[in-house]
Amino acid sequence: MFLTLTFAYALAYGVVQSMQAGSGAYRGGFTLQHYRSVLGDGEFLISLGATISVAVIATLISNVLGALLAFAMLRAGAHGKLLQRVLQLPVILPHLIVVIMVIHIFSQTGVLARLAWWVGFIDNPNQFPLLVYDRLAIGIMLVYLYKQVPFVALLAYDTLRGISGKYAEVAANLGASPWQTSTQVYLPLLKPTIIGTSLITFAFAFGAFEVPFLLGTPVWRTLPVESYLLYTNIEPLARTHAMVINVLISAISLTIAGLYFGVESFLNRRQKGGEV
Amino acid sequence: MLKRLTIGLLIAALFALTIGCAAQPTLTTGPSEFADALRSARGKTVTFYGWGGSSAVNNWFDNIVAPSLLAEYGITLRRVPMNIDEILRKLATEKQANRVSGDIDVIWINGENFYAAKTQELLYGPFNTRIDNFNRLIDPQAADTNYDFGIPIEGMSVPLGRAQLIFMADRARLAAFPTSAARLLELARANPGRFTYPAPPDFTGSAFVRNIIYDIVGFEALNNAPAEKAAIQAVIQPALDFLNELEPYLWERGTTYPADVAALDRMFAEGQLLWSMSYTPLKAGQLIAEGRVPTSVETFVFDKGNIGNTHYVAIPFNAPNKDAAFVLIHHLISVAMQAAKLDVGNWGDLPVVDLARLDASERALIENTNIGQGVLPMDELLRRRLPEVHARKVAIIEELWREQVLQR
Amino acid sequence: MKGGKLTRLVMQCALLVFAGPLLTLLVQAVSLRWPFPSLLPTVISVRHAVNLLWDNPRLTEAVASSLGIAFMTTIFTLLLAFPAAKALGVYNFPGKEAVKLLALLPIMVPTATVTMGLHTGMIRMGLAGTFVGVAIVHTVFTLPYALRILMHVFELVGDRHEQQAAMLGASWGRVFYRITLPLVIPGALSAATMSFIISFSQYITTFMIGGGRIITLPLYLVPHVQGGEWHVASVYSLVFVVATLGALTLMQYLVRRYYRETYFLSP
Repeated sequence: MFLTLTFAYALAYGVVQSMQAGSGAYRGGFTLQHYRSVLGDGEFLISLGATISVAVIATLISNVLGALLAFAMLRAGAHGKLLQRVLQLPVILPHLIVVIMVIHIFSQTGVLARLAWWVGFIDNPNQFPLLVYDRLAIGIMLVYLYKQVPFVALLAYDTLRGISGKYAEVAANLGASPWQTSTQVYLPLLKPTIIGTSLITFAFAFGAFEVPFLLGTPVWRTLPVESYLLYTNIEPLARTHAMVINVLISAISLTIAGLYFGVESFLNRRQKGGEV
Repeated sequence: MLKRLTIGLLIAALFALTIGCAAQPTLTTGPSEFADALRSARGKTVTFYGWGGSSAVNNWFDNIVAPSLLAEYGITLRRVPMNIDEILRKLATEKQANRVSGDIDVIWINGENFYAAKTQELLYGPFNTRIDNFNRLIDPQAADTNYDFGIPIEGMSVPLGRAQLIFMADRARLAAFPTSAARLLELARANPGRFTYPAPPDFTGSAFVRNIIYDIVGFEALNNAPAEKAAIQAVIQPALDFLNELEPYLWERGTTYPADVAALDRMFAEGQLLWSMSYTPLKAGQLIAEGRVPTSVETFVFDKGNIGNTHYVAIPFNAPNKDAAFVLIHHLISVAMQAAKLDVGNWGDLPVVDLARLDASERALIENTNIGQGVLPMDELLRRRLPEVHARKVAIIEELWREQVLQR
Repeated sequence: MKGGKLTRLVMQCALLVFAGPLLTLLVQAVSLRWPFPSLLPTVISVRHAVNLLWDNPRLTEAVASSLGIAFMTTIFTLLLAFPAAKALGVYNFPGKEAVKLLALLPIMVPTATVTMGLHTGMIRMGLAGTFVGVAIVHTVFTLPYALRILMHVFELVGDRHEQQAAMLGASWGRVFYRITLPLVIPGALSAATMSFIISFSQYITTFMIGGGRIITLPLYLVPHVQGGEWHVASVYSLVFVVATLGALTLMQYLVRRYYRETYFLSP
């Protein structure tokens, strides 16, 4: 009953997606010429490399920190529960507002810079390192972390608490130290959650628009921003190039997703095989 | 039952997607005479789309134009903020989808965007001579009545206001102002890290680069060069070399630039930078009035002059209320509105009305408008005003800047 | 489980790092002038902030639009996600994995890209520039999250209870209302919350599909951020936070009131 509904809905989905991809391919003129010219363009390659690097770093850091934080919250009992409530706020805040906050704190005339001035580290704002609008995308990374670490931590915390305390008891009875309990018991059970969050955080960091648009340096631009700027550019070829980039972005995103699903099912199979 | 209904609906939706429009409706024509427009537009709402990033501009539209429009003509103004590239994207998509009655009656446009809109046939017109105030107040021989960034207007838009690139600095912090490229280099060397400019394609940053080109190479040379990359580069090479020479003395040693002029203003207001620039001629007056900068800030231009350009209003091809559009435009270029627009407390944008065509009381209205402190008077600005080159060349120059200056 | 000193330190740091920045928002919202290098603003004016909020029809319009669209999106999402999540969570059928992947697509592909593709179609269907149109596009992006959440819930809960009730002669409607719904309420609430938040903070989708006719709070906020008007931006940001929290609290309160007795999955 619900089955057919789901099929119909998924079908509609697929249609929408292929429409989108189709218009992109059509704009590309069904020739590879545009693809070649985009791929050969130095600026595109820089954008590609930079976008991937930022996404990978953001994913790694936020998932590691998020998981660690979740563990700490578990051990902290009541304080952990309090933090759980507090952490919901960063998840709710839109990226726009986080951008504003990051600029307030980290810009060369921001809160940290003023503290540095008071302590005597700097004489004027130019001496404070450039952390926003910078070539290393530090500001962008900070925004991602502020949003993603709580996201990962909350999901991981939920999972950890869902895991029955019995496992820990059994392990303790068998003589395991807290560290061993964490790594041999909790960590493997946490893996599926973390894989899921990694996928989401990467996909977001890779495809984000508003944050790099507002906090980026003019020297290089992330792929979605590059695509948007080309799309709104009045030069005739620009829009075509934008669609090409969109198709490439989609291809990359889908590949990553495919990889993750592969890894996830592989791990699931392994886990089922070597059950406790 | 419910299931079948849902499937049916979904299939119907899929059909609708693939079939597309059936009918072929036609565009409306505008009023042939201004009197007709005045009559038929009463009671309507006119929708205006334009950049909404400046509260001063928004304020002028919402609190000065809108109430007076309603009071005098019975028309309600609805202002929708949207970036021009988005507006053009919307119109182009609507043109493709054959949407004959759109959402927009009047758009605010100029330069490259006007060029794009005109060549893609997104505009309605020619219409300018069907507007009373245009015939009465605007000088038909003026360069900016007929050319927008070197593109022939042919009646497809009406001037709204004039902007000019100006520089600002604090006399208390900087005794001598850089009134030429050479002086700028000197001062930057003496004060490393205290000067910079927004990266093109930011509007103001782009104008600054062209201003440097005019100062070093001259407007004529650039204007006469063909709109082709190699030719342009050959002409502006000395300016590119200059900007590269300047780079190490700029903010962050020129390894990066502020993305837009708002960032520049902020850094100037915070004392991080020794100067800022703006396309709004009375910007300094506004910043002083807002208390963001001290009263010792002054406006200046290069000795050889600064770029000025004009911005316009136009009517989209599928405007639903062309008569109301006519009346709005008529109202926007009226003396009262142009004087209010000039007021530093409102927008601080130069008027487009030809002073020679005004009677004494109208001229007094303009001349007595408060233009604020720390600004240059209108005649001074107009005396040192250089025209824009063709929009095509602007894009080429921006590209060259990215390649030759930014990437080095 | 009581942690040691390190754990407590980590908790305190986390609190500071994640809750602290909001203070800057609060302070900036009431500061008229706050030049470098002052640690405190030099001119504070609460009145200025209040004036910004009071006689501001455009702000009211933006907040109302945001709330309206977010609620619409949430309803659309739940309507679509429920049956799909049940099917994916409970039943096994060929192509299940493929459907799962399809359902996650909108998170994978960048928002702007998908929106550009949807835009022309929306215009043809006459939905561009309408609240419903924007809500539909938002739903495209909230569905994956809602699906994931509800799928997990259905996986946990199964359909034994529904089957038993059906065997005992309960109608389809009763089964849903008395059995399914109470079991999945926490998950549904979670999904609804997620949908609401995502929709409320959408920028580029509303920007493109709304065609400038629909001004939501984020759209209203962005020009002020680009213009560097921090005072105004901070005030509006606070409006955003209050509006979101208010709506979410209302939702949770209403649901809890109706299902207090059947709420047995711990929060």
